[in-house]
Amino acid sequence: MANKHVNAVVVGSGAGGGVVAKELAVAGLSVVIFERGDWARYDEHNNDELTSNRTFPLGCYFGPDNARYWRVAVDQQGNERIVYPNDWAYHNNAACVGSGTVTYGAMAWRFMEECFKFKSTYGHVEGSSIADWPITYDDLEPFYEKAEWEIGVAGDDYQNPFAPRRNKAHPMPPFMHNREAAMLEAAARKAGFHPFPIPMLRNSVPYCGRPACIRMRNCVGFACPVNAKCGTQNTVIPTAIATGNCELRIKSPVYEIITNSTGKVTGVAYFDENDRRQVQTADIVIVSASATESARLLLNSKSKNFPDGIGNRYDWVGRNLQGHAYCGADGLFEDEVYDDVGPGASVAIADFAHNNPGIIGGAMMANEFIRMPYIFTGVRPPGSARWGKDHKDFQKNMYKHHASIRGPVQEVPNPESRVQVSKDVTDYWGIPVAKISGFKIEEDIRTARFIADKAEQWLKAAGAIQTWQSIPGTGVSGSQHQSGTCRMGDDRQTSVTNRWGQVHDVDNLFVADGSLHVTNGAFNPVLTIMALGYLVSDHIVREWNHGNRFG
Amino acid sequence: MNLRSISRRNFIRLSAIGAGCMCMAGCYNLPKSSRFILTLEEADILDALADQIIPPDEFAGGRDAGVKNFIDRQLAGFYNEHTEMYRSCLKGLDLTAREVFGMRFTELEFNTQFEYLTDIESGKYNSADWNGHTPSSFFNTLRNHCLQGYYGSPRHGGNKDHVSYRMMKLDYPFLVGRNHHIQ
Repeated sequence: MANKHVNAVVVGSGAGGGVVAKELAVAGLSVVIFERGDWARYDEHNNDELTSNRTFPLGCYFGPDNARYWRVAVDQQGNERIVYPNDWAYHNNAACVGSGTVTYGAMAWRFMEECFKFKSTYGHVEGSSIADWPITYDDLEPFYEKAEWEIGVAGDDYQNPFAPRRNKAHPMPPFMHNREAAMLEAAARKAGFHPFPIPMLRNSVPYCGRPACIRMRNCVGFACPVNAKCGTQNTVIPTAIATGNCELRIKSPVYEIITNSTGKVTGVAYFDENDRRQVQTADIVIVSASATESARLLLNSKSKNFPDGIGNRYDWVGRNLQGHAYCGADGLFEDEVYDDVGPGASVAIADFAHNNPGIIGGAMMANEFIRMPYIFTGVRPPGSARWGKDHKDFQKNMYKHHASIRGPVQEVPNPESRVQVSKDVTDYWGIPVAKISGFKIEEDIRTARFIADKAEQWLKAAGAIQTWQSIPGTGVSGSQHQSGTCRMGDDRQTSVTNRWGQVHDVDNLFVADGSLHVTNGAFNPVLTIMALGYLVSDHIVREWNHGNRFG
Repeated sequence: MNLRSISRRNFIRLSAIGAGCMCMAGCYNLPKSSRFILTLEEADILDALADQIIPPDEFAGGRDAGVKNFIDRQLAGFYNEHTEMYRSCLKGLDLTAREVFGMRFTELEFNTQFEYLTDIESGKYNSADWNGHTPSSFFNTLRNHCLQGYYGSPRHGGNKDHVSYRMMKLDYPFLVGRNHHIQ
């Protein structure tokens, strides 16, 4: 039986898609959200580090599975190989209802004003596609606020002198620091930095019918057992469904955006739970499948009007893939700094996010989430034993004496870091898979070295007896912070969508996820993705209410 | 019994029947572990290797923590594609030991095993005995798998009695809510 026509199809139930579905459903549009994964259940996964979405040698419990999903990774020498979701080169993000918002560490950053003006702040960089966003921080500010209040953020930006202007405080008070963060907070002040509590999409007090966080160590990479972590799956998606206007269709990967002879989108094609091809028609389609899969879906949607994929007239779909050039430093301490109060990350500084002399960009810096036992086996000073007695002794004696600071260095985008669709490899359903290739430009590594120096300085100020730095390699980044592949812009020849996420040339097709990011900020990107979800849907609803059917 | 001569499904069925019979007889004589993939000989080598990666001290080593069970279970499941490499390389490791030291790997002194493995890790050996595999890259995979078995959740067959969590002074079993480790 054919599916009933709806007003809007949303592809993906993560940070962007969940928000869009809720906004449209509340406005009275009929909506179907497609999610290729299932509901994640804490009780099934429990505290299993080896199948978490943080460290996944035995696969990613929160999806996607290795049996049906793979991609092609291209290294910097041009060698191609097939990679599965539990390989870092796959650049995975979770595939379940809520996607990465189920398993994230939940840092709730607003980008700074400079993040939206990367090019005008730092100038052109040779070999890059550095650019300003078509929107400013002020354009996005009301939507940041909406995300903070509707999904729930605990924080206190007034302690951060570098925080951008805001109209309203966070809805929940910030978290108390654990022992490690309290130590680092004092050390940061001593070093002349300006520490403050990290804003978190996590309940510090009961909020919106869900309880406060119980400070477990298994948080990032895991689902929350008490639902204190705020994702789209326990906030906006239930609200969308409660309107009666929205259906969530799980275990249903969308593989093509269907267009008619005039190039107008008429719906999507997908596989149902039993691998049967199905069609869902809609007035508008919003793609929120993450930077990799959104680009892949557009590129795989070829037709007479769009021979190279929909929205790809000027060959921009899939380009400018970015994550963050993560770097930092580790330190060992005389005393135990670990008190088992999770999730760990809670103190940050924004002193070096921008305006560093002679450096392009920078990064927010924060203490690291708790290292679980297996991931800690890889935490060693350079030259340490990788196995044997010394390795075990370190694990035994230093686990609670270790602290780490990390920073997501804002990358300078380049068009050769990209998502393409493979010409030879298809997935379980016979659809061409994503092919990921590219590199970081030299400036990113230079900035990373600068930030790692600062991290080491911070740890030393805290009294670390031994410190070492961690500098990223030059390979392409993406993973959970993947962004940039359908950048927004005012010029249709150098971008994929306009400032409202509407694909140039295709009025009833929108993108609402990290793909829209022109640059990826000096911060974790999820609150910006949520805010863009609100911005895109605000535009759709306003137009819709004026009678525009995007035909 | 040569486990390779029967299918895995049949083996599991047979084990279940066997375990059932023995339980009815009062639960004694139960084998300490049942293997899916590894032969007895391979299992012995793997036990010795696990004790090299995580040597015993006041806390169990890799052998007593069930690292072998972890690897065997994964070879029958998620790490199925590694089975041939394990089979070839455990054999190669033993053959090379006989050539170099005139003894089987498991008969070598603990410190000699350590030096031998250090040489393997650094790429010293490369012979046809390893069936086309690079000894150092096998060792790297083996090392990772041993650490997973020892430090991962006991649900996968290793980390017996939560030994690594006890060693690291972490709570066990892990409960929802917070409770602090008491020494």
